[in-house]
Amino acid sequence: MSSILLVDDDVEFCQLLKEFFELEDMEVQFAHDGASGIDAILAGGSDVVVLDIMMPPPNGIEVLKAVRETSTIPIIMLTARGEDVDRIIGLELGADDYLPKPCNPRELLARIRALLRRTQSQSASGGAVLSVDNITLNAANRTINVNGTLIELTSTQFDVLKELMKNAGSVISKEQLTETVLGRKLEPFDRSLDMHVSNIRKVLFRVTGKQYIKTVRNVGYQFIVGVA
Amino acid sequence: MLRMISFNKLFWKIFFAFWITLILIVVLTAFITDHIVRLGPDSPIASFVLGDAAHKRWRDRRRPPPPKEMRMPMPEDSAERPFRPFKGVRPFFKKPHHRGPPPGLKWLSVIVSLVVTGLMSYFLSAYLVRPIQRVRAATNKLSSGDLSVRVAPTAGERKDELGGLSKDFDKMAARIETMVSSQKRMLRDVSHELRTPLARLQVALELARAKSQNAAKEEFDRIEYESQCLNHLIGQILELVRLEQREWVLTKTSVNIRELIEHIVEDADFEASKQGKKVVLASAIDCTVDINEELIGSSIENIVRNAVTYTAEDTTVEVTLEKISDDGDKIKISVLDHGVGVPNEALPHLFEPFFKVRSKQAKGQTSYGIGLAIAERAVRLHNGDVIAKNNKPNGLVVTIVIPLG
Repeated sequence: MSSILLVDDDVEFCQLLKEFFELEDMEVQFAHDGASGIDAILAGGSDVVVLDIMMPPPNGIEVLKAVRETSTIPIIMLTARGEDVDRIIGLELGADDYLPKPCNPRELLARIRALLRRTQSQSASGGAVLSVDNITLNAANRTINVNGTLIELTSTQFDVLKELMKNAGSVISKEQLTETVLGRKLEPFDRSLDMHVSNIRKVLFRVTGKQYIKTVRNVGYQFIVGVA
Repeated sequence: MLRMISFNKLFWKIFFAFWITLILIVVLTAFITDHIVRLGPDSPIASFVLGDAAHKRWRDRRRPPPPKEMRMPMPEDSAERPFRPFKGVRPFFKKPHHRGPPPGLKWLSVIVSLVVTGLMSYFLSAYLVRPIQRVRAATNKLSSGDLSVRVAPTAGERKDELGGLSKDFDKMAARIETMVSSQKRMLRDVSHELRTPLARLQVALELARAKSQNAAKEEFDRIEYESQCLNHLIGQILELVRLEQREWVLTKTSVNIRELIEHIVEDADFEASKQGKKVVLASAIDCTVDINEELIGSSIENIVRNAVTYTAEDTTVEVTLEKISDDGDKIKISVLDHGVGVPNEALPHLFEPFFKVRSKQAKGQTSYGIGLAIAERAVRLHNGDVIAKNNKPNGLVVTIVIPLG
């Protein structure tokens, strides 16, 4: 049974969601403010976190920042519709996905399942080790080794990189990447994928000083083999 | 001082009124004085004007008359007299020779009095007109939507009525600003607050579906649809409030506008096909523009969606993209529908939120909702323009013009 941690200050909303998720055979825990949210996330025990951005301080963004320093737990954030800034900052800070609130709970469930499927199935399937140049990606324990240094990526970033490395040398369209990694159709003005790729680039650049992922304008992304 | 005022009508009115008055005062005083002096102390006017005591002093001070032979010959005959346009009136400054100053000095005094009165009039009118101009400029700014405008910082400390006017204006502007911003804040807060119960409602609905094994599917679907409409509407209100914030900073990227429109047309065509309508990109050029993709994208989407709603069944909404160059290069996006159009008198109001059109052809009221208002605000943020016109023989054409830079 999967365990969901809900970080949202609306107690009644949490209770209703708990009931809904329990019907779907999921375990739900709450945290109703940012501070206890951070504690609950770092305490571990949850498979996925649903984090509301709009909370009294520390708000969701601050929680995300604090948590991402040490944890790569899958996080879906709930943003206010129209508040693009929250969404962009959230994705930049390493949230795995976002959903505007109020959202359809079925949609939220689908996103959670997609995220869980990715993280759990891959760790179960094991074995798959991808190696391009001096980057080694181990799907079994979800680790990435660059020149002997272990680097940390969130699960979505990991999956994006894995997909790119699988197809190293060729261009993958944004549509395809969004569908295989995020488990949904690419929508107009959807910048989620770009944010994830930009985060991966930053991490790889910090360790290697090289740009491995190339943007192919109006098409998609390409993992370059043999970067100078 | 010169560059601080513009010489408008009021300035010249005050300037000339004051100047001419001063000149008249000087001239008339000179004329009357001259006339009285010429008539001499024996005339009845002298005693009337000067009063008894002064009149007496003047008579006593009078020098004894000079000997007869030294006097100027006074011509008795009217034919020998110099020309006088008015009987009994001498030219203004032509005092009797034995008393007046040298002739050159008279012209000097004319020039000096003209210059002095002119300068005084200039400063007086500037002094009066400048604060009025400041208030006027501020009123213009206020009416164009800049509620933060104040007069006091440029007006200095004036204690008179004009200073009071500036202060009253500032008070009024501050009050309007507070009122409008508090109203906007309320609209925003209310919209935000409405989302909390709406979020709960959506979860409760799903619970109801699950627990009743979706027994009343049709009704549940309807509730879901209506709550989505509510959510959409709240989102649009918040978007509009956000776009109307003055301190908006646009993040622009270089966007291939043709591709953006192609995507929108594709999506809209898919949705329109359910109603037996079509959307096509009739003609387009290849072009990149520096814009906020999301804002302009949703503007075009709103306008296209609006056209799809109002175009008649079995008709096609046509979208065109072209480049125009009147004072600078611009792109022009037109969206043409084949509906009944909008009454001409209603066209200017089409971009007001929730504007309703009453038209005979559409039978009843049509609400244009808030989508067009959002589109207009977003395009304005890009220094662009949105224009709606009726198309012949039928339909409405909405045009977006955005500068390329």
